[in-house]
Amino acid sequence: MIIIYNSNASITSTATVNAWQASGFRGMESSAAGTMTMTYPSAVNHSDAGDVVVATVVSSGSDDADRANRVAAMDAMVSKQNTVNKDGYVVAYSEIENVKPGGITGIAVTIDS
Amino acid sequence: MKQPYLYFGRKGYYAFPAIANGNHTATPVTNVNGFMVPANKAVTDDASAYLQLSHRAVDAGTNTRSAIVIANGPRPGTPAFTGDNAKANIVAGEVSILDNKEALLVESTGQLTVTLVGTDGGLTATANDFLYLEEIKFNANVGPYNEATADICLPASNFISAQPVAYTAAGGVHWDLAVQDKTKLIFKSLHGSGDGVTTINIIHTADKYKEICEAMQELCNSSVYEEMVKVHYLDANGQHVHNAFSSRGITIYGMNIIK
Repeated sequence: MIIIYNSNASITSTATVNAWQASGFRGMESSAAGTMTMTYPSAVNHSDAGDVVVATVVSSGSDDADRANRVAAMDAMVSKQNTVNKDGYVVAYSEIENVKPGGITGIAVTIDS
Repeated sequence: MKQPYLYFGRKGYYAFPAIANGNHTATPVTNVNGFMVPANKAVTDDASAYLQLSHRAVDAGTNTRSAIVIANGPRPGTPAFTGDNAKANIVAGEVSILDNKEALLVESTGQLTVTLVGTDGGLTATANDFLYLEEIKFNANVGPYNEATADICLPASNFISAQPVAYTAAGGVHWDLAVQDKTKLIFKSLHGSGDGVTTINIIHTADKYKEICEAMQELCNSSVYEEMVKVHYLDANGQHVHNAFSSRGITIYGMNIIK
């Protein structure tokens, strides 16, 4: 499936909306107190780097609650990767459409170059 | 393509030879040797809720165990203290609890000191004895806890290989004398084929390599698609191990993530 991330209310440039093959999804990890990071194969096809989506996750003030929030966000993204929509694409996150699963409040995309 | 995604969380486990003066700062605890990096801990800070330090005596000792350690008693499941001198004498095979705040000090991040018997709360070990520092619950004082290598979620299809690794720390046995082995689970890297691999190292019950392969096969064949398959992690309540592992008699003592 094609999976889409829209990080910005205005589509103005690269990294405000992006699409990858869900089958290329390489995984996720915690990256800070209120963030987790996802990676896809590089759009410029580099073998040693990927495109990165950093998701900001709701933060509760407790370290263990923050951990659980990151896990919830990862769970939601797993569900998205496994979603099948034969008539179109899958929206993983969208500011414009207000699709914000798993307590994710924002995303930032870095395209490998 | 629907597929399961496997979630692994780190658990610190550092088994190492003791030394008589108790100052282990020359070999700091790292994410590589101890699967964790404990933060500074002063004598006034009690870390026993999330870190356990145990001493397994290989040698006998005379008047080497302090009053607090005697009062703590042996680690549950290990032999009772039987030495003379009001149990201040150590008998080979006994396992003492040293995670009281007076004994376990982290002077600088990852740098351990265990107080001497002269300082109430500790004991005097020998170079043949072993110490075991274990992370038992999630706590922000033991890292990495919210950054890279704290945890990871990987697609099952990116699993490459499981390889047994020689494990001989502390004689290759836990403080309760359970024999241990180590296995690494190797996945394709988060960042691509040119960036090496991502490795999950597991210290676990001995002679369970085949069972780990079975467990991985079961997890990779699962039809859990709406959330991650949580293989192993710590939270504030303790350790969580997926039934695919625990039902096969696999105790996980430590786990780290190397990218």
